[in-house]
Amino acid sequence: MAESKKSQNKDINNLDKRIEAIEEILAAAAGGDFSAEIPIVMEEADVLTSVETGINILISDLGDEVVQSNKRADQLQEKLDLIKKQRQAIEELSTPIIKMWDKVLVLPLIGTLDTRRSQKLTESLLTEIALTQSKVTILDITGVPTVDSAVANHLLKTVASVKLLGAECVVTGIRPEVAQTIVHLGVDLTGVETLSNLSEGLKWAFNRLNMRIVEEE
Amino acid sequence: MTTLQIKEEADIVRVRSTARSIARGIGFGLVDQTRISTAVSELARNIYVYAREGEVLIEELSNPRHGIRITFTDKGPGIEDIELAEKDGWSSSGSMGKGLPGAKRLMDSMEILSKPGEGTTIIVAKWLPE
Ligand SMILES: Nc1ncnc2c1ncn2[C@@H]1O[C@H](COP(=O)(O)OP(=O)(O)OP(=O)(O)O)[C@@H](O)[C@H]1O
Ligand SMILES: [Mg+2]
Repeated sequence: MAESKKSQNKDINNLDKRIEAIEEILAAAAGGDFSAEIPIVMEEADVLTSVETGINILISDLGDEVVQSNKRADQLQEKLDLIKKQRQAIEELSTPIIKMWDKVLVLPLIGTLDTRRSQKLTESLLTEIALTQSKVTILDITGVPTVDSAVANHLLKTVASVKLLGAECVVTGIRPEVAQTIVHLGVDLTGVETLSNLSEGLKWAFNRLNMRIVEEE
Repeated sequence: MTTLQIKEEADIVRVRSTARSIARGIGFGLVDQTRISTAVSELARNIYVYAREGEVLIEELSNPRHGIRITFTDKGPGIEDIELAEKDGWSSSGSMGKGLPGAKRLMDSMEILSKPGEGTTIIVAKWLPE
């Protein structure tokens, strides 16, 4: 047995040609083509045949793996796209501009305001004011847990833009802890009309429009 | 001990909500949680605006007093004149210049270490009222 193997070792058929075939297949695989195979003649199996078979299996497995991995990358990308879409949907949902009354808009701000979202918000608000000919806007920030200088700055700018459109703006729902923080931060909101809550804001709005709420007797 | 990276704007929100919930866990009340979260928001935003990216380390302190310490580190341009940067209303970017002085007022202590061209480290702390 040992002797017969030894004799096989000695003469490998077509060695040069077969090495060339192996090189070609490896080069193809390196280039991303896993379809080719080293031709194997089982009847003339010698010591190189097991190496050739091994390479074939390896490359075929590698090909399958690459296909799988591409598929996973595609799925991941799909999920990322979906998340992006959902994020946009949530952003839109979380910033409704409510036409509370004729000429009165309410913008309940909820969650965190990053630069992108604040800009979008101001834009849609200004468009809506022009569209509805509104005179009073209530910005309610009950749902904003952290008012840092960026958010405060955004509020100041929004209020200024609203004024330029000939409308008025009041900020409601500043929570007590947020109010204290704003003062410590040193942001000056004195130019901004503020009221404790939304219903105060509504009363203010009606007042500005020379309207009154009367209770029926 | 929690370490967070700042690489994009959304990280500012992540960092400050983490700081808020750690502060809550330590026992800070609502007003202090809000102060801490706001100070963190300012300092994290400064990293994002001036250094593009950096790191925030949040630690609970228990000795000698209970409290929270937050360290902001970046390898950005550094601060040329720290005394000036800490002044109310001074800004190199045409902003309000409220971040650093505001954070200092909102926390119990703030220390700025910075070298132009090398980066900035800012350490703030707040103690739990006894
Ligand atoms: N991490 C930092 N790296 C480099 N420079 C900084 C950093 N943080 C602050 N600065 C410098 O210090 C100045 C003051 O910062 P501060 O946060 O007080 O104000 P601002 O960022 O300019 O305005 P605001 O925070 O009110 O929007 C900045 O304008 C900037 O030049
Ligand atoms: Mg700042």
